[in-house]
Amino acid sequence: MLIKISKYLFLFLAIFLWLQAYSPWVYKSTGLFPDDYRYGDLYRLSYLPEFKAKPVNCDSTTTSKSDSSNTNLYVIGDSFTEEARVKKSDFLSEHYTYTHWEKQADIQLDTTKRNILILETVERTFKDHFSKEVRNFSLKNQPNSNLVSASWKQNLKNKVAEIVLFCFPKGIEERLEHTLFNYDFFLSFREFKAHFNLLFFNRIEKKVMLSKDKKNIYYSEEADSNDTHSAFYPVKQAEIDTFVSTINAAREKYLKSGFNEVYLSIIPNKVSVLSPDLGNYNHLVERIQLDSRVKTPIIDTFSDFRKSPSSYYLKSDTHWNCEGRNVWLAKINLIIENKKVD
Amino acid sequence: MLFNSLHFFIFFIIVTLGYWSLGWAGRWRLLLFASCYFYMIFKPEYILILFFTIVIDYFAGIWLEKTAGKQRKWLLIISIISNVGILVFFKYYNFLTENINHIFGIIHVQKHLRVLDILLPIGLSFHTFQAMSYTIEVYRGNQKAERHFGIYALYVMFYPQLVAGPIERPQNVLHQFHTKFKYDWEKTKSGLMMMAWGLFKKVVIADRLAMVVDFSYQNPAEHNGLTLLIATFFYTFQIYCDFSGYSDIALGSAKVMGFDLMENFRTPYFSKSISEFWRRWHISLSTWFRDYLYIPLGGNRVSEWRRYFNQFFVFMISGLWHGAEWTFVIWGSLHGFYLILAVLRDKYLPKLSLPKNTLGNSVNLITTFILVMIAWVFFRAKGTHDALTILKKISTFSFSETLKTPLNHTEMLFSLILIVFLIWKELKFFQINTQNTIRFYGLSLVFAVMIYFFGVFNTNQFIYFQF
Repeated sequence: MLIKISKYLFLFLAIFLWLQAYSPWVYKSTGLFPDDYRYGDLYRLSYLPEFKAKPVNCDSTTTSKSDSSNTNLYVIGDSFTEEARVKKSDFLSEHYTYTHWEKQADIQLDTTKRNILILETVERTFKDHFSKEVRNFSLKNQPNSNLVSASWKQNLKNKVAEIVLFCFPKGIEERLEHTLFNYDFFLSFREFKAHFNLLFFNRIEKKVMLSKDKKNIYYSEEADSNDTHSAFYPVKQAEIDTFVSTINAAREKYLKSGFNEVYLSIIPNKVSVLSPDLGNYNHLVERIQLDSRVKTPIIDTFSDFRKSPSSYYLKSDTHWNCEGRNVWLAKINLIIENKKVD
Repeated sequence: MLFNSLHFFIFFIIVTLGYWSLGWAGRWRLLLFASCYFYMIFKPEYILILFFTIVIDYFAGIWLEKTAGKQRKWLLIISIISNVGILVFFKYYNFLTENINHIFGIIHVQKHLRVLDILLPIGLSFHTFQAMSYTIEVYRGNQKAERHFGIYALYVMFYPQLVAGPIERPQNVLHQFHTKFKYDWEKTKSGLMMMAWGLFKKVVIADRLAMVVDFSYQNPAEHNGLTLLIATFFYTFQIYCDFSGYSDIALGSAKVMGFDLMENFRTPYFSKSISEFWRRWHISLSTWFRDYLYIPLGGNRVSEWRRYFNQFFVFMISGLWHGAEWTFVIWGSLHGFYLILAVLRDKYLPKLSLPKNTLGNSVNLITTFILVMIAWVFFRAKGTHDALTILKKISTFSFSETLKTPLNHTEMLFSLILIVFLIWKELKFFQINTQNTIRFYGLSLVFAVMIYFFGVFNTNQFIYFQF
């Protein structure tokens, strides 16, 4: 009897585990499992105990909405400016619209207001965003040459792909891993293994890299010189030419669409600031920011971060800390207030 | 779905516990559904190809049984052509096209055949061969045609051996799908231990050695002879641990549900000749080629030189079965060449054969191992040019060269210890005894801890999945 009960208990437990991993919706809605990013995204990949830290919530940088009610701010950005890190209340503008680089949004500009667009990108994904036309915002009531109605064949193909993806969703393994081994109790085993591998085999998870003194951890994508996104992967002049023309084209396009100002902000990679000696640095940020052909005004954080490298990034994460974020926000708010930016 | 994934771990628990909670009708349905899910997780649309093969061979089997005379032969030919046709289209079409285009280029013909953008369905060679063995056995009268479509589908799709074998025979497994097994704790323990050992071989040994192999074989021109020699030595064990590890998990997971699948490996690196090696390595494939190609070609009942040709031809085809690359053809041909050379040596130069004493056996064992290792260079290299570069560098290596590997000294030493442990285990305890339950729990715990702490989990696919 006991065996029978145990059998069904295990069966139902396994079915539940499978179901929550199989369905991203169930995974999110159960709320039973701890946030796997709670100790930082680099810790989440490496499980090295020396890089375990709880990211703190930053206080809002604005106390009052002074004279800025006349400004609407739009940001096309990445994880540095997503809601978990930057909120509407951090800006002096009255209205704030954010869209991720991977998404597209239809917007309608209020032409009675001053409309500002910020193109924010971290250095490692800069190439992806500016090697092709920027088309994340589509202005309503304006003809959009990019939208061509798809054929029924294409629609059918998309629908089938959608159904297949629903039936066989991606990320099952990852969700299971986080479900089963993400509680603090299991993290200690993972930490032990990671520490052991580093100590004896001098080996860490492939997706991360350590600085020479092993005091800082980086995302491999930005630090591994073999990765095309890396700060140490050579960038040819022809590529720079393409980026410059794409940046200028984006500015012209959005100014024509009704924006009053368009700015570019490249957030430097953590490795470019803290360990530029880890390889042959390609100086991508400087080469764009100092290129006289770039017509788009630049919001420069690179120079500030370089002055005091250790102050602006989280130990356990690829992203900036509150100080780094505040440097950037201060510059944006100066623009909103129509003041001069350093 | 990969055997070395958490997804499989949960899947296995659900399917096995569900299986033992149901009656016969529920069991085969559950297994068929689970097998479909297992396969579709890789690429769902390819289930249609599998389904097509199943339908063709199911009806071919029934018609073959009902028909007599010449018609039977035609039915068999149609069934084989449809199976081989799918295999040729998905696996060899681009290989053939590229080679034809190359020949056109040499003889200055302007025609250029189109290379298709097609992905090889996972495990296609395995389930196609398994399906073919069914129709051939029905044709030969060794197997009754299966009337139950679900059971026949399960014969082709049974998840433990669907994507990388063992390539089963209908006589061995079809009747098992009709049986309602009684739960057997001893079989469960034995099956689980096989799975644990298989997983250990895959994630602790094979995937660790793979780091050295991948690093060196990625660009062999950059590495010295010593590095390439060590990498080739490691690959010899990597491929064994990878493939036999898969087979152990397959056999073990089937055993837990009461099924007995055929043995696929029997300590092949202890072979004292190439012919012995092939009686111990990928047994289900070598016996398939023996039964369905070598014997129909005349087997040993033909003239001496025809027999040599047949042996060489079978090994060459076996190489091609592994992949649509010349490197695989060379790998297979090399084994055929070794085999013929050994036969010729025994016949014409019997004095060169070593005595069957300890020293003679040891020399034979080491020689066989080295010959197999040399052939693996072609199996692993990215092309014939790379393979020749590797062999050239290995042949001129010196111990004064500096070994370049992504692993540090401690992990290299650990890898060697693992290889020694593997050899010791296979030699002393080929089957792990699980009759003593306390011992079983103890060993399970040891394996679990070892796999967790020493396993390399980079979701590496099994090498044989690509075939």
